[in-house]
This record gives sequence, structure tokens and C-alpha cells, in this order.
Amino acid sequence: MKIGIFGCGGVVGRLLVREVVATEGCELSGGTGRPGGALIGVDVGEQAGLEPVGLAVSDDPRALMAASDVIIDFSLAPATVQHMLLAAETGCAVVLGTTGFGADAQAAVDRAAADAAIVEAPNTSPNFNYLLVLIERISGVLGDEYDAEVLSMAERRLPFAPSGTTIEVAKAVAAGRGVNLDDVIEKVRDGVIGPRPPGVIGIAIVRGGRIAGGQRAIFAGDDEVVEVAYRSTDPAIYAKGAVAAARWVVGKPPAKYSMREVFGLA
Amino acid sequence: MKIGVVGCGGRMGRILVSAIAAAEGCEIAGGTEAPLSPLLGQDVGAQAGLAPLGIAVGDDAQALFRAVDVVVDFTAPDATARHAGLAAEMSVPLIAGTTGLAANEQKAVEDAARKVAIVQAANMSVGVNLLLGLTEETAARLGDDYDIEILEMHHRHKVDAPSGTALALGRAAAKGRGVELDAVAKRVRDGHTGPRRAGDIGFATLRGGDVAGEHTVIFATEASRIEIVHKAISRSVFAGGALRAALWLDGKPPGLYSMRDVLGLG
Ligand SMILES: NC(=O)c1ccc[n+]([C@@H]2O[C@H](COP(=O)([O-])OP(=O)(O)OC[C@H]3O[C@@H](n4cnc5c(N)ncnc54)[C@H](OP(=O)(O)O)[C@@H]3O)[C@@H](O)[C@H]2O)c1
Repeated sequence: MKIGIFGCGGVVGRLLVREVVATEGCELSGGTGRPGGALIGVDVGEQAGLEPVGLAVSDDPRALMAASDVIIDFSLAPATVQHMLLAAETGCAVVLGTTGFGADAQAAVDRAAADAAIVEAPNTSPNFNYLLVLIERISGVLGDEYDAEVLSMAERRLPFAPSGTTIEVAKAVAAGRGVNLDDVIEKVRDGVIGPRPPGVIGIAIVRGGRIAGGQRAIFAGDDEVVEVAYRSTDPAIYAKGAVAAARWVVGKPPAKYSMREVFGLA
Repeated sequence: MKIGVVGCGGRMGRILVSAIAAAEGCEIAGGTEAPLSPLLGQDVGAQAGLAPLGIAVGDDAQALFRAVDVVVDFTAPDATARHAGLAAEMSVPLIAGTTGLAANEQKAVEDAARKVAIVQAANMSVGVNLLLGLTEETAARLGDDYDIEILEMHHRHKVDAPSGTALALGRAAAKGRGVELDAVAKRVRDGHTGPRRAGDIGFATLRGGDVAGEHTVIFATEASRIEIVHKAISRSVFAGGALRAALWLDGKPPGLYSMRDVLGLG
């Protein structure tokens, strides 16, 4: 199976290169970097800390799609619309790990899913996706008599908030209650905010450190509090999960898939 | 729904009366105390610290069962055995929260449950039961690569360790893995412990202040960790669960049910 990597020079991208090379049955078909960036033309393996693999980092995602069975995309949000248009055009399957994109890119993802198999994967860790299952169950059993809050910590370099991971957590809380997250999310509290409105899902964001991240969903009732928390300390897990998703999605009909489906947790 | 509270003047009974009176769709339809109780004849609401409800505390349990849809029982083992008999005879479902039943008393409950629906639970807290169910499920799902540890904290007056709930969580985890807790429980670590033995379920106990009771189940593997937490805040926490059980029991066929059945945790 030929796997290409968009954003192969990033923190996760380099781990992906190593994971694909190390995985039996997978063949690295190439990688892209930001057009005009310093990595273009450099050996994909070498820039990831491996022996040279004889493939240069390219700035041509279309050509890489044509040469691949599946693309794993861990580039950055500004590229997502273009990447999704290309997926629709070529029919190439994509594991979309990039996060932080806006409504226009989301629409492009949904459109591309008519012509290509797309795994929308804002977090590819199997543990994290199991956490979502737990959160949805807990939220469903406890209902909105318990105030739900999400506390999220990520590494200092993450340039936007809430992260894709945080939104996944909040969505799981909302799904458990059968509500739409956009209708109940409370993202900012500052100054005289008044008492907490019933039914909202509050989000608090913490940033710091280099790699460790954590998510905590809190369900606070009058007499008891239930919490479920997840911590991760090594981004290699994202590369492993993304490669698992790539292997899973090849051969699937065009549609949008989730990591929970990939891990059989849906 | 008309709810009767046997032992309505006890500490648990008074909390239940308040919770039922405050709950939508529920109504206190009677309360009993033992013959000779000084509370007989007093108003059920007033003796629980509420506005009068216009119902006098009685000592005729049979009359109470006749007047209600469901009976809640947090009394004493011998009384609960008798109440189970009445429940069967009069086809009125029962919620039995009394602990410490002797074998013959437990048998009376089980016999009664062949004729009427009974929910029996040593701990009625929705959150604790959720934790028990999810701990078993998670232990089964995540497998042996995850180290399971159980951390609890209680107030300085508690004399036993680990807490009964911590041990119940340990049994749930062991059950999920298909092992006996006694074979894998690690209750003490002190001095040269050596590396952690694979498959152990570890316990850690904290004591201090007036902490009502906190339990954390940790599933730790390389580079990531999931935690499920319960914090009791007030002693009324069981009443919310008893109410849910009362509403759930409506129309259920005869049988002995647990809080996990009530919460739909299978
Ligand atoms: N799904 C998950 O589980 C998960 C986990 C972690 C992170 N993420 C997300 O994955 C993305 C990458 O994360 P990261 O931590 O690896 O970030 P990063 O280190 O900044 O990597 C992004 C890489 O993409 C390159 N890039 C930018 N524009 C590109 C384009 N048009 N075509 C190809 N490559 C391009 C960047 O190059 P330059 O440096 O030259 O700009 C950089 O090398 C982010 O959106 C992040 O939020 C997802």
C-alpha cells in the first residue's frame, strides 16, 4: 500500500515518515512541504532522521496523490481547502489529521467525501477515541442536571483555540445529551459573567510545555462530580493511529469516516 | 408518581423525603416509622425540615404500600426483609438501599423479586455506579497493556482502607479482565517494591480533612493515560439515584435489578 504524507516535515509529519517506513505492507510514496519552504527538494527520509529514501520533499500534492493509494495529511489549515479539492478530483483516499480549519474548509471536506474516502481525524490516538466513547456514555447517563465543563491543555506552540481535540471532547458531551454543540458551547468567561446558564457546555483552555497534552470532561452535579480525563505525552501515538487509519480506509467507498469507525468504537 | 418512604424519620429517610418532594413528577404519598417511634403522627414533611405535606407519619407499612406506586426503603435488614414480602404480596415495586442483610434476609428479597420488581444496591449514587460499570467495560476493552491503579481519598475519621467503593472498583476492573481481585490486588507499596508486576491492580489511600469521598481509576499505558473520577460532595448523593430507580421501575416486570440496570449500563 502506497502512502503519501502532506506536511511531511512537521512534528507529526516526520514521525509519520518513520512510522510508514517501519510498517510492514506500507510503502512511502513521497511527502510534500509548504511551497517555497526550505524543505522542498530535501530527501523525505533524511529530513525525518532516517537514511535517505530516494524521494524528494515536493510541493506538488496532485502528483503525490496520483502516485499514492492514500494520503495522510498533517500539514496546516490554510492548505486544507486545496487538498480537499484535489482529493475530490483524483478520488484519492485521505486521512485528514490537520485541524484548526474554518467553515470553508469544512465544507470542502464534506464535498470531497462525495468522491473520495476521507477520514476526518482531528485526533488519531486510539485512547483518545475510546475516551470520546466514555464521555458520550457518561454525558448520556448523567444528563443536563450535571453541569458539563471541558478543561483542555495543549503544548505552548498550538496557535489556535479550542483545539480540534477539545472540540471533539465537547462534541462527545453534546452528543451524549442529544444537543448541538454550537447551541450550547460557552468558550469565554471574563469579568462579571453572571450565574452559569443551565445546559451550557463550558470550555477552559490551558497552554504550556512542549509535548504533553490533556483533556478533562467534568460533570458537576449537586451532590457529586464525575470526571474523565486523558493525558498523552508522546506525539508518536498520533502517527501510529494515522497509519492505522490509512490502512483501514484504502478500498472503502467514498464517504466521510471518523476515527471512532476506524477503531471500531462507533 | 406516588412514592412511599418507609423509615421516613431516619437520616436517610429525611433526605429522601426532601429529594422526592423537590423532584418533578414525584410526590410523597406516605411515610412510616417503627411502632413506638416518637415521630408517629407528626407531619412527614415537617419532620424532614420541609413545609408540612399534610400526611402523618404512620406505623402501618401495609397501608403505605396500598397507597403508593413505589416504596423506597433505607431502614434496617430485618425491616427490609419484611418490606420485600409486602412488596411481593401487594405488587408494589421496591427500592432497597439497606445494607448488611443476613443470608435469610437477602433470600427474602430474592424470593420477593420473583413476584415484583426490586432494585437493590449497596450504593445508590448514580456516579459511583457509572464508575463501576465503565471501569469493568474499560478494563475489558483496553486489555493487559494498561496498568490499572485505584486512588481514593476520604476524611480523617475513616477507619478502614481501602474504602469499600475502592474495592468494588477493583473487583469491577478484575472482572473486566476475567481475573479474581485477590489474585492481583496490590494494596500496599513500601520499601523496595521491585518493578510493577504486569496485571496487578494497585490501590493507594489518602486520608485527610473532611473529604466526603473521592475515587479515581487510572488506566496507564506508554505515553498516555485515561482516568475516571468520582467525587462525592454531600451525603444526599444516594437520593438522586434512588429517585432515578423509582422512575425507572414504573412498569418493569418482576426481577431483582441493580443500579447498573437502572442506568442502562448492561
Ligand atoms: N489528528 C491528530 O491526532 C493531530 C495531532 C497533532 C497535531 N495535529 C494537527 O496536525 C497539523 C500538523 O501538526 P504538527 O504538530 O505536525 O505541526 P507542524 O510541526 O507545524 O507541521 C506542519 C507542517 O506542514 C507544513 N506545511 C505548511 N503548509 C503546507 C502545505 N501547503 N503543503 C504541505 N505542507 C505544508 C509545514 O511547513 P512549514 O513549517 O514550512 O510551514 C510543517 O512542516 C496541525 O493542524 C495540528 O493541529 C493533529
